[in-house]
Amino acid sequence: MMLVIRFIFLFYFFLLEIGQSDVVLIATVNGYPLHLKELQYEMSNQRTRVYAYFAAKCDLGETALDWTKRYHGEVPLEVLKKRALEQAVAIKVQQIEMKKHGIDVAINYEQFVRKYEEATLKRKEAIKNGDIVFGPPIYTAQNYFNYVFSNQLNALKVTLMDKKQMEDNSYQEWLNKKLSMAKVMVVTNKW
Amino acid sequence: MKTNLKFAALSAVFLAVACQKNQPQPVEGRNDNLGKGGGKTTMMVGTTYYVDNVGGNDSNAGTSTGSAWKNISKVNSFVFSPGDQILFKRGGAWTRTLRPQGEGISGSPIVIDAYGTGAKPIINGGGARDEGPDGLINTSDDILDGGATILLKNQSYWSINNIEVTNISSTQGNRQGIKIVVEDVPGSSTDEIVQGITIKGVTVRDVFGQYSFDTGKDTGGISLFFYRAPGSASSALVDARFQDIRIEECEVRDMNRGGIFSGCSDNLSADTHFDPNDYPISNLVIRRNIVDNCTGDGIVVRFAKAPLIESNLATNNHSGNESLVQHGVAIWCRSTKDAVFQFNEVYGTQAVSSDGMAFDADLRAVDTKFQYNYSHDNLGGFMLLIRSSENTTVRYNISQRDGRSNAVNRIFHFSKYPTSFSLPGDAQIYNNSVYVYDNTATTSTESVALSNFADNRTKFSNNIFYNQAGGIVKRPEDSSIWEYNHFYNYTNVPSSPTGIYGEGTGVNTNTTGNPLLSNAGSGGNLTGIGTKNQDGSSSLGTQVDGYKITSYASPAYQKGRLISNNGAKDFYGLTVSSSARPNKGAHNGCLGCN
Repeated sequence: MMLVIRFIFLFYFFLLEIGQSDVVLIATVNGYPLHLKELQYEMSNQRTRVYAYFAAKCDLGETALDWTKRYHGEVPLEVLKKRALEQAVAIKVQQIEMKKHGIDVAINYEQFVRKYEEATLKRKEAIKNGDIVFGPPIYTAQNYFNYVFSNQLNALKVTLMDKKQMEDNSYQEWLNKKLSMAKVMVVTNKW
Repeated sequence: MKTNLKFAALSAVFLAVACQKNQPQPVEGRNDNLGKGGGKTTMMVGTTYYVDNVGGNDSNAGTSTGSAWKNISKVNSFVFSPGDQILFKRGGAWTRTLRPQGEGISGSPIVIDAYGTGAKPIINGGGARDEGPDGLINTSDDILDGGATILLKNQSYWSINNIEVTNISSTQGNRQGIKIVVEDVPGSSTDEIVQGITIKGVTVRDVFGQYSFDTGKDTGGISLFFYRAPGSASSALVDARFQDIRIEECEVRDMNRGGIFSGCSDNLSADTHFDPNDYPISNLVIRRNIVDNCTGDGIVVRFAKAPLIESNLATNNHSGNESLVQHGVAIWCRSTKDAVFQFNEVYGTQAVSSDGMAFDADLRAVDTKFQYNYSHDNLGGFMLLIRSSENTTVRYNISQRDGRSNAVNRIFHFSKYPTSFSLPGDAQIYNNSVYVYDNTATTSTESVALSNFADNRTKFSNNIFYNQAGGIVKRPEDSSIWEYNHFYNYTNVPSSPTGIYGEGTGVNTNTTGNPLLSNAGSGGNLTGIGTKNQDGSSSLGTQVDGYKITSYASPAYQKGRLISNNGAKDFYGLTVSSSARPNKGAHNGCLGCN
């Protein structure tokens, strides 16, 4: 009996751990949650760019960049997090607009993960069966997100043009307006 | 299980001892030129060298994680041997061009890869650029970096895997991410050959080359490069070759200007320095890469015989300011023979007024096949054929919502430029399904299926053109032949020659009416689903199944014309008979047959 209780406790803490690593709430955008993992995707997208920015600014050469050290008034990790947050907010604002316009979008991170896992399973099955697949054999979650998001973005642009809410090539202008109106509530800076 | 573990442990010990015994002794400055000429495959066990930018030290031996080297300059000073591995620590980052020395041999390449856990190691070219415009790697800076983050010059049998590459600058310049160079040797009676190069799982981001098509089309992500030998006559033909090149499963993002391409230095002209009947790149495969957001082109293949470009994802390219980047197409070829482009998904190619198509058979592209591709939402259209392209086959593709740009409005485009070349000839465009979608009511009646100059050797057969909002087929100055196509929602339909199935003189074999497709225009993304089943059964799922014919009553069902050498499979992997009349469109399913 004790063993069973102990197992249940261990399992509970295991689930808690999973939850902590995957769905930590960092901010809300127009009331929708922004999770740590979503920011980590953007950090990954921005990492090289931020490194190169400091390499040029500080003439690093082959000297290692200390991500937590201050260089000419800026800390690389803070710059990375700031850029990642800006990007993640922009994505969330667009996802919210997609949803408003009836586009099928996994606006919450948990929904996205479910869809990604389903898609990966199907893809693995197809490869196992010897089917030809388009694109890379297996997408990372981040690449899958990029792929799905850019398709949804195309759908959004078509919809906006159909509804005469946007002209050809004026998407950025339209987006900037939406971003300027976005309400971002930061829940924690500890990430 | 225990026995297996014990066996594995013993094997590991044995292998470790064996590896130590067989390790070539690293001798700095040695260059034994192994691999020249290729041919014989020899397996050699090399030495593994580790590079750690935080914990390493260049006075270390470099042969274990605890005694790693620190800097790329150390790596560059060393001559590697066949079978050697150079492993960069994950999470690490370096700013300096990686230009390692040495060559592998067939079966024992020299490998660049990552070790440890975490993010891919970053190698930043720090804005390295070819100091041209003389087109030579000759200035002191050029010799160090050649304008690239990773440079291999006249070195065969290398594998580059699992690293992240960038080459950012605030100003334009002749820059590449990974650049594989072959430079012919003056006075040599044999061709210089670079062979056995594999680039796999590499991410290339933010290479800032040049915007202009004329000066910048060979700047960007991953490149194969022909260079003129110093001292060679300015009119001499290029005397160098690439063989057995694989670029697979890489991510190439945010490039100015190109993604993956083969090109040549500024002082070489594709039309005067390359033998038009010779193709100096052979056995080139570009497969399963993601190429996203290049200001100019996505994938460009030039000077190649029978290159295979398949299962790539080319998205949101030609994204730069068009007044700067001018022309740009997602995937194209020039000066090639027998190129095959298949199973690629291409979308989001931008266009304001110039190009912006998914695919292009460009100048002197001969016997090219574009098949089984899914093209959608490319503003400039689906397909471009340039003058002097010959015998292009475009078949079993799906084009959805391409050519939507108000200014462009086309699906197929046959360019009338440059006028010094002959018109595109002998193009066979058959069994494609094209869904035309217009973005505003005001332009819907002007939507076109194709435009400009297709000559009388160009034949459109068995295609379905499905116009969502209604439109016209626009064929200015065109004499192409149209037969057995199907048009839905068009106000004009091309007439056809006399049919071959007893239709009678004057009867148009191009048909109209609802083709009764499952759900045209419903195609979404293809991720996560099997697409083609080689044994003939479809496992495509629902994403682009909207182009399947659903009824015997469809005017497209078994109403196409027989085409010889038809490829035997449709878009969905279903058999296309060599004797029975096929369907029109990309789906050749036989209703009730299964």
